[in-house]
This record gives sequence, structure tokens and C-alpha cells, in this order.
Amino acid sequence: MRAVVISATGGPETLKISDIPVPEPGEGQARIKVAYCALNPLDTHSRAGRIKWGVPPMPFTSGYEYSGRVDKVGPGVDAALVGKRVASAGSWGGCAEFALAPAKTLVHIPEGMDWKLGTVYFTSTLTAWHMLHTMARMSKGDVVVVHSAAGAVGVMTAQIAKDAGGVVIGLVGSPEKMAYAKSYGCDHVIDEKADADWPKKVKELSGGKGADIIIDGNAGPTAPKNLQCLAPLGQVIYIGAMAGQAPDVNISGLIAGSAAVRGFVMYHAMAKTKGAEFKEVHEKLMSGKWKFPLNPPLPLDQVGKAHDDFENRRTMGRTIFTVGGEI
Amino acid sequence: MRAVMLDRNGGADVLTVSDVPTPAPGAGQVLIQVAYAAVHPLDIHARTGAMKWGVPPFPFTLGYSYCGRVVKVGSGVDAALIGKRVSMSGKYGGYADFALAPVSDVVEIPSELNWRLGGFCMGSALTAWHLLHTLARVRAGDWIVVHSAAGPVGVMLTQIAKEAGCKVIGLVGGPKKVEWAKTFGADHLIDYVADKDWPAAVMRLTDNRGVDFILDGNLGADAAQQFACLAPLGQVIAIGAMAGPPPEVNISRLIAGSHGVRGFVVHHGMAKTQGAERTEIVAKFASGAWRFPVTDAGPLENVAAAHRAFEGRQTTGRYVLTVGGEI
Repeated sequence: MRAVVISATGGPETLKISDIPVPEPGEGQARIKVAYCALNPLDTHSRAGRIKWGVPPMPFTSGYEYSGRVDKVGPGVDAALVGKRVASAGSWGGCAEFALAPAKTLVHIPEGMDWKLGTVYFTSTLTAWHMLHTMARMSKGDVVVVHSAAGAVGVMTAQIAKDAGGVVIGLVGSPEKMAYAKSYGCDHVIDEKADADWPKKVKELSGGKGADIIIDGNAGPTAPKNLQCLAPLGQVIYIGAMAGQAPDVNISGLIAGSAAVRGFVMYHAMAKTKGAEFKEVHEKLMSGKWKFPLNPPLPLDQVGKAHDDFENRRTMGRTIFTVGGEI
Repeated sequence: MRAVMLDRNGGADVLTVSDVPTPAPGAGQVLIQVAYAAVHPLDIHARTGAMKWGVPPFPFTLGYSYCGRVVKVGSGVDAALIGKRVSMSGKYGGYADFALAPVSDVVEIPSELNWRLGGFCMGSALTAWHLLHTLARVRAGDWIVVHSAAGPVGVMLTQIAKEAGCKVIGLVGGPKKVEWAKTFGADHLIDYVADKDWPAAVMRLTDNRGVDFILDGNLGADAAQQFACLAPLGQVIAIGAMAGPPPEVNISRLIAGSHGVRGFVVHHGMAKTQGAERTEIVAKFASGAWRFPVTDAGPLENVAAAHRAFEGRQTTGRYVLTVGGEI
């Protein structure tokens, strides 16, 4: 079968389309005939060696987030799973005609939702939903600042925050991204590359108050800027470190401004609500009330270029690759 | 008049009562005949020199939190204030028979409450109320650890959190405080002096769930160990640093556990609600639904011993010196 295999840590050129044997599901595993595979940030991190945790030994097949139909199950897995439409985001291997995943981590794609949306909606949408509701406990009127507002989490955060009565300020890194973020409902968009003193602008745009919630997946050495425009009682929530490690935080320094610095990974929140949000999220997405930023699928041989575009911040919305397609 | 003037930083032995002229109120000020004055953490910090912010130049009269009766007003102040019972917190001067305060900072004591309750309960009750409701936005079922659960803020946090349906674990130093703090309704109390690894005890008490909030006015070098008993999405909220500065916190570690650190000062909470909670709080005290423990530190002349007892963590509740008493 065709698979995108990584044999050594490096740049996008290390992604090679190879012919490898179809894998057999082991204990607790399901084998999935892949429909579409998304480009997940963790795919670029694992290829470049930026993360080690959970990454299989080389060589391994790329593809952290994908959809498909279960075609075989291993020992200890209910055979009724065979034929079901599922999405997976928890282990690698989706950039191939067939992939193996632990059966208990699979998400069922809701009836009536198309394959492409089903591939990617849940990670970005549920991340956004849980950050705002399960974690930040946001309320109406909150000013929400979103870094990378043209990315999928950014776009979904903007729409879900608007729906909850928030005022949304998006931060992006180029003029095209400004227009894109605005088209998904941000009240204001700031080009943070062009305006290094963006915290001042956030203050101005919020009538001097500052942000109640700041969502940041970039972190990096300039992360303390977030605290410059945080309203009293406000929260900075870090969901990643695309721009590298942020400086450590001094807890005593947070007292005078009643400021908060928090971290977030989605599965902790999902474990807390046990799916109580699924109905609302599915309805809003399938009715088009929330628009998911999904780009037209690319052929699998574009995977290297897509990694390069993503790492150089040229990507807006989610990239997916056609593997089996509309199976 | 008698006054405890501070002319240098140092231990409790620098505190002596001297005889000074009674001051006269200037524009916008009131002269208060002092009834009772608390041994407040900020009195300790100002005396030791641990804090500079808001501390007047030497020599000055200590006493950050006190109550008394307005006996004279300066120019521009409504003379109808004369005779009113007021509480005052935020400017030093209460360790004396008479104190000057800006009229904008004094708060009239509700007629339903006696001197010792009405003079001191509101500060701690407002801190606790805003911490739980305005900042943390607690919900029924949340688990909370309260440091210094026998302190004035601690007993209010315990009572208000219980009323909101939370589970409360109090930390206190010594078996006597365990018995005393129990009467305020905590689900569990841990003597952290006897059990240094109290986070492990918290994990046992929560069946390895961990807690949602840790409310900490102590911090200090050991402050990082408490992250071990935070549930996913849990937060450490710092309201002071009685035990000294804490270690810095790494943001990537916060992300991995979906943990957070926050700071809090009550005036930010008060600015947000504009006093909407005040009526409820007064009614709770007046009806006896909430109790606020005021304990006797003796007459003003006992000030040095009172500071020593407070720093030795031997006191419970709000520990107050009698100045004029029931005037």
C-alpha cells in the first residue's frame, strides 16, 4: 500500500511516498481504510524532531489525524465496529491507505456529516469549545484575543466566542490572513508582524480594559507580551509552543494584576465533560452556523509542500489529503 | 494620644507605644477615634520591610486595618459623617487612639453588626467571595484546597465554598487549629506541619482525582509541590506570599497538565461587580449563617507580643488589638 514514511528527522524532503505492507491489527486495535488524512501540527513537529513524546521509532508513517472506515479489528475489539465511519487523532499512521489505531480512541463521525469535515472538525472545534467553556468559563461580554486567528483553532475560537457573546480580537501574521480571519467573524484583527506593540492596540480596541481571555498556541520568547494587555482577572491560556519555549512565570508577579497563566490540552477537558458538548457542536457545524475552515483536499504527493507552507506560516485553515477519498 | 510609631524595619521588638499629638484632618480626610485594630499581614510586611509598596516613609503609625468612630472631618467632607461607625483598610495609622483616613476609603459599618464583627468581617468576606465567584467561578462539585484554613480569609473561603456546593480541604498548622477550623464546615482538614507531603494526602482524600482550585496566601519555596495534587484544568490561585517568593513555573509543564497559576487582589473583583454582593454578605453575617471569628490580641500595649504570635502562626481568625474598645 502507499504510505508517507519518515525514515530520519529533517525537513519536508524526508517525507517519502513508499510502498509498504498493509498492517494487521493487534490486540485492542482497529484497522482503518483511510479516506482523508489531515495535516496536523504534530506531523510537522514529529518530522522535524521538535517533539519526542508519543512519536514511534523511525521509520514511521506520518498522519496524526485522519478519517476512514474500520475494515478489520484485532483481538478484544467488538466486531460491530467493522464498517463504521471513524476519525482518529491520537497516534500516527494515517498518511497511508490503511492505518492502525487503538479502538477505544476512535471518534464516530456523526451521521450526515461528510468525510472531509469528519476528518478534522473535532480536534480544532473541541479544542476551541473546551478552552472557552470548560476551561476559561467565559461569560458574555468577555474580550477574547486569539493568536493565529487564521488557523483552524483560531477560526473556531472566534466563532464559538462570538456565539457566547464575546468580543473577539484576532492576531495574525500577514495582510491576507487579516481578511481571512475577519471573514470568520473576528470583531477586530491585528497584524502582529506589522505592529509589534499589539498589546497597546488590544487595550485601545477594548476601551482600555484589556483582554479577559488570550488564547496562544505560539508562546515563544515574546509570550510575556500577553500579560501587558490582560484585563484584571484575565487569563492567558497556552495551548502550544509553535514559536518555542516561553520564559518561566513568576507566580508572585501575577498577584497585583489578578492575572492568570494556564496551559491546556484538550483530552483533559473531554474527560471532564464526557461528550456533553457533542450535540451542540455537531448541530452548529452541520447547519453551517459555525463555518469550519476546510481547504479543498490535496493529492497525497503534495504532502512535502504542505508541510513547508505550514511551517512558514503560509497556511490558512486546515489542509487535508485525499487518500481513499469518498470510500 | 497613644500611637505605635514605626521608625525602622525590624523584628517585633521595634514596636513600642509612644505619646504623640492627636492629628487634625486635612482636606478630604476624616479623624477616626479607633475602637479596634487588627494584626494584619500587611502590618507584618511593612514592619519587616518585606513590602515597600504603599508603605509611607518613616516614621509612621502602623495599623492597616481598623475600625472606629468619625469624630472630626476636614474641609470638603460632609459633617453628617461625624458620629458614624466606620471600618478602614488600605492605609496605615490604626495602631493609635486617633487615625486620619481619606473619606473615600472609609466604609460605614452596617447597623446590624457589632464593632468587632462589622469592623473586620467585610474585608475577608469580600476577598473570599470574589475569589470564589468573580475569579474562579466555582461550581457545585468542585474540589478546593484552602491554605491557612484557620485564618480570617480561610474560614470565609470554607463557608462560602461549602455554600456553593464545593468540597473543601483545609490546610492548617497544628492539631489545635484542626479542631478549631473544623467548626467552619470543611470536609477535611490536614495538619501540614505533621504531614509534610500533604499533596499526597489530598490525592488520597480525592480518590486520586486531585482538586480544581488551591487558594494560597503563603506561597514560599515549597509552593511548586502542590501542583502534584491539582486535577486536570486545576489552578493555584495566589493571594499573597506570607512564606516568601515561590519558584518560577514552566509554561510547557502547565500545558501538559492543563494546569494554571493565577494571582488575585480583591479590588479587581470589586470593580467588576460594583458592590452587588454587599447586601448578601451583610445579611449572611447578621443572620448568623456565616460566622467570622475575631480573636483578642489584648490592649494596644500588647502589640509586640501580638505580632510575634501572628508570625509564629499561633493565632486563629482575625486577631485584633483593643484600642478604644466599645466606644
